[in-house]
Amino acid sequence: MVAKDVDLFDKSLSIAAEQEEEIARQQKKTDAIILKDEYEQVVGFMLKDELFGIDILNVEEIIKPVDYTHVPNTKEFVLGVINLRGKIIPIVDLRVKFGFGKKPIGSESRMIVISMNDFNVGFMVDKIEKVYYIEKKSIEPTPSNIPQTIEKYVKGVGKLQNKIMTLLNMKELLEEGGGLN
Amino acid sequence: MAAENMEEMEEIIQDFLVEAEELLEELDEDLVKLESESEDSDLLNKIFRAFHTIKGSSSFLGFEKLTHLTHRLEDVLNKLRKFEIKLNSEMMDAILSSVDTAKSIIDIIKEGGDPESVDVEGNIAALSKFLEEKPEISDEELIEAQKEEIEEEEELEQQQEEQQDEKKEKKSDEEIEAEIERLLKQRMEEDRKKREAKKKQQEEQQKKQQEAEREQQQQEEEKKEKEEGAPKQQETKKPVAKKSKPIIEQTIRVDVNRLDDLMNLVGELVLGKNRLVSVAQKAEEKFEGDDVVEELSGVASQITLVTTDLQMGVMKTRMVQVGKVFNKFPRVVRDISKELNKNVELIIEGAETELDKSVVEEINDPLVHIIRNAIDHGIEPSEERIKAGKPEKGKIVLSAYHEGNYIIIETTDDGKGMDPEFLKKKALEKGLITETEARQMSKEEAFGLIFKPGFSTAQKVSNISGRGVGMDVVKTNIEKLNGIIEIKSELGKGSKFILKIPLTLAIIQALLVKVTKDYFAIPLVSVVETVRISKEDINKVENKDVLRLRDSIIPLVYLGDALGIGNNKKTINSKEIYVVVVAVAEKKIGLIVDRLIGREEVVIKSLGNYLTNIKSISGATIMGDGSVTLILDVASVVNEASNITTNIEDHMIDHAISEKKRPACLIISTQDSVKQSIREYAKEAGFDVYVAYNDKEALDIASEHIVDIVFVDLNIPINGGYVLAKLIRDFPAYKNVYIVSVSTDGTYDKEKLHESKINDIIFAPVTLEDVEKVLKKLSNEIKVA
Repeated sequence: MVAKDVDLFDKSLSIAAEQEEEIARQQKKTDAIILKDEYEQVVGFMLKDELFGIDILNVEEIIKPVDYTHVPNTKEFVLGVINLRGKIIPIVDLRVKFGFGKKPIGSESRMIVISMNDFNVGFMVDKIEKVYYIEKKSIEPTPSNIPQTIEKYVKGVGKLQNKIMTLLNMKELLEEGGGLN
Repeated sequence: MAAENMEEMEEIIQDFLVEAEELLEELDEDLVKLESESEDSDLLNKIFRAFHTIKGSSSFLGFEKLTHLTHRLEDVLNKLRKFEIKLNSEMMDAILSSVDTAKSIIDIIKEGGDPESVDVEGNIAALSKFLEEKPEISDEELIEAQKEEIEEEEELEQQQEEQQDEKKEKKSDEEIEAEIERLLKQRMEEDRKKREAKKKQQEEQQKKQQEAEREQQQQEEEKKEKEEGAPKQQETKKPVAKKSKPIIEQTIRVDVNRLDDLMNLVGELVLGKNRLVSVAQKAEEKFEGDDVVEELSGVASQITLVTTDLQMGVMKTRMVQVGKVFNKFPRVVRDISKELNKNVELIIEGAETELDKSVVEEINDPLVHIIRNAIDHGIEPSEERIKAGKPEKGKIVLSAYHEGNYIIIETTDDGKGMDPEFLKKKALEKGLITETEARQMSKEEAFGLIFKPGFSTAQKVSNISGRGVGMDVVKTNIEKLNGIIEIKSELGKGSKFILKIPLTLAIIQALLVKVTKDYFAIPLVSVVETVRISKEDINKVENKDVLRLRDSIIPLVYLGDALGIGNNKKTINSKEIYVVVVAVAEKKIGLIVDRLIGREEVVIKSLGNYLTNIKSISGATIMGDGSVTLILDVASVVNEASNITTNIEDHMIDHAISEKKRPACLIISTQDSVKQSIREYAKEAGFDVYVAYNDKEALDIASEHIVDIVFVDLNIPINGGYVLAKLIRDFPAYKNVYIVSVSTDGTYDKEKLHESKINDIIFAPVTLEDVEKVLKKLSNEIKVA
C-alpha cells in the first residue's frame, strides 16, 4: 500500500548536453544547419536487445518505476495503475505486449508516461537510451522481417549511424486499449 | 460589432430557452392540477401568464410558429379565466398536446434546428374549436397584440428611465435642466396614459397626476433652496418605484461544468486531507508527546472539519429538489391512466428532498417505468376495486426522504399486489429460470424476477407494457447509480418499490477490504452488513457455498474468485472468515474477503481512456498514503459471482498446510549470486524453495504457499525489503514466519528492521555458513515455540 513519491528529476535522464554534442558533431560533418522539420526527435529505449523510439512530442515524462496497483480483468500486458500527482495512469509492460517475455523490474527500468489524444498511459521499458535526432529522409517503411506480433505497432524504421531504431505507432498502441472485451 | 450582436442574440435566446423550459415544465403540473380544480382563478391566471410570457418573448425573437401556438393557448386560457367557457377533458387534451408541441419547438431551437418546420396547424385547429367566434387569428390581430405589448414595454422603459433620472438627480441636485426635462417627459407619458385609458376615471386621474406634479414641483423648488429636500423627494418616488421595482434576485445561474470543476477540486482536497491525517497519525505513533506533532494533529483535525464543511457546501450547491422530477408525474399518471382506462390518483410527498443534479437526471426513467407498471399491473379496473371493497379510485404515492447519505424514493400503490407463485410460473414458461431455482426461490427473489430482461406477465403487448424491457431499465439505471431496489408486496393490498440511492456520485463512503495481496473499496451504499463466521457456518446447497444468516440463505463467493485473482490463493483463516453482504438492485450475496480494513471516504477517479469498461471495477481512488485502490462495481461483481462455482475451502490456509509436505523457504532478491547460494543450501537441508524477483511476485507466492522462512533482499524493487517484510507479516499465515533480511551493500537501518519485525540479518556475499546458522536458529525457535 505504500507508494514512493515519483522522482521527477531523475538526473540519469538529463541528456540535453549529449544531444547538443551530437547535433554539433553532425553540423561539423555536414557543414549544414539542422532544420527542425527535417528531423524527428525521438526518445530511444531498449526492450530486450532492440532499440525502439517514441516521438518526443508524445512523451510527457519519464519516471523511475513506482508501486502500481494490479487491475483485475485487464489484458496480460497491463501491469496495473499508478498515481501520478493525483492522476490515475495505467502502466503497460511493453515487453509482454510485444511478446518478448516478462522480465522483472530492474534498476534501469523506467516508465515512459505518454500523453496523446486524451490517452495517458505509462510504458514500462527495460532502459532509456537517449533522445535521438532522426533525419526524416532516413525513415523507411516497416521491413518485412519484423515479427507479426508487433508489426502493426510499428510506424517505420529509422537509420542511425551504426544502428537501427524501430519507431512506434502510438495511435495503434493506445487505441487498442487494455480492457478485456 | 456584428459578431458581438450575434453573441448577444445567442445569449438572449439561451435565456429565453431556459425560461421557456421552466415555464413549460411548471405548466404540465399546473394543467393537471387545473383539471381537478378548474375554478381556481389564481391557477388560471398563472397558466395564462405563462403562455403570455412565452408568446411575448418568442414573437420578439421571431419564432413565428411558437408565437402563433402560444397566442392561441393564451386565448383559450383567457376565456377560461373569464369563465366564458368551461374546461373539459377534450379541451385539456388539446391544451396538453399543444404544450407538448411547444416543448418540441423549444427542443428544436435548442438543437439548432429550424423551429418553423414544426407543424402547429393541428394543435391550432384543435384549440380554435373552443374559441367559437374567431376560428383563426388574423395577422392584424397579431400585429395589434404585438403593438400593445410594445407600448406596454415602452411604458415600462420610460418608467425605468424616470427612475434613473431621479437617481441621477439625487447625486447632482443642481442639474435643474435635467429636472425640467424629466418632468416634461413624465407629463408626456402621463398624457399618453390618459389617451390609452378611455374611461371615466380619466378626470380623477388627471387631477391626481396634476396634484402629484404640483407636489413634486413644490418639492423641487424646496430642494433648490435646501439640499436636505432629498428624503422627502424619495417619498414621492415610492409609488413609481413600487410599480417597476424588479424583485432582487437571490439566486444565480451557474454553469454545471463550473460546479463539476469545483467538485473535482474538492475531491483533490479530500485526498490531500486523507493524506495529511495519515501522516499526522504516523508522526504521532513515532514521536508521541512531541509538541510539534500535537500541533500537527490539531491542524489535521481542523482541516478535516473545514474540508468536510466545504465538501458539504459544494455538494449542496449541486443539489436540486427531487420535485424537479416528481412534478412531471401528475402528467405521466394522467396520460397512462387515461390510456388504460383506469382511475388513478397520484400523491407526491417529500418533493423538496434534495439530491445531486447528476443523480436526479438518472432517476426519471426508472420512476416512469415503475409508475407505469403500478398503473398497468398494480391498480385494478374500477369494477374490480369496488368488488374487492377498495375505494374506486386507485392511489399511488410517490415519496422521497433522506436517510443518512442516501435518498429513499418509494412508490406505493394500493393495487392487487404481486403473486410470487404466478411470477415464478411465468418465468418458468419463458425459460428464464429452472424448476429447481423456482423451488428454492424466496418471496423477495420471486419479486426480483420482474427485473429480468424479457420477463413480462402481460397477456398481450400494449403500447405501455408487455414487452418485458421496462423493469430491466429500472434495474440497470439504479445499478448505475450504485443504488438498491427493494420490493415489498402483499397480495390484494398493493406493492411498494423502495429505491435507495446515494446522494452524490463523486465522493462516496466505502468499505476497504483486503483480498490476497490487493485492497479494494466497496461502495458502502451496496453493503448491507459484515459478519465474521468460521468454516463450520458455511453450508453447501447444490454444491454451492451458502450462509444461513438469520432467516435468509445467502450465497457465498470469495471476492478473489469473482475478480479472477483468486487462483490458487490460500489466504483465508478458517476460524475468522469475513463476509461482506452486498446488495445490488434486488440481489443479495455474501463476498468473502481476507480482511476488513475499515471505512473511508473516497473520491472516485476514472481509470482513463485506455482502460474502459473493465469488468467488476468502476474506478479508482487515491488513498492517504498515495497508493491507488480500486473501487468495485458491485453490480458486475455480483453478476460474475452468481455465474461461477467455487469452493471456498480451496482458499483456506488449512488447505495449503495439508498440501505441504516439506518445509519451504522463499527467497526474494534480484541478485543471482544471493539466490543461488541460499537455494543450494536450503535444498540440501530438505526445503522446498520458491524464488521471487520483486515484492509483487513475492506476495503472490506468499499467498499461494506457506513457507517457514523468508530471505528478503533489502534492495528489491519496487518498495524495498522493509516494506515487503511488513506486508508478508500481514498475511494471517505469516504472523510467526522467520524473516531474514539480506543486505547486499553492507548497510541496514536498525530501526526499520525492528519496525518490520525482521528476525535476522545476513550480508552478501552469502556463505553456506550464514544460511546454516540461520536455519539452526530457526529450528531452535520452533522448538521454543
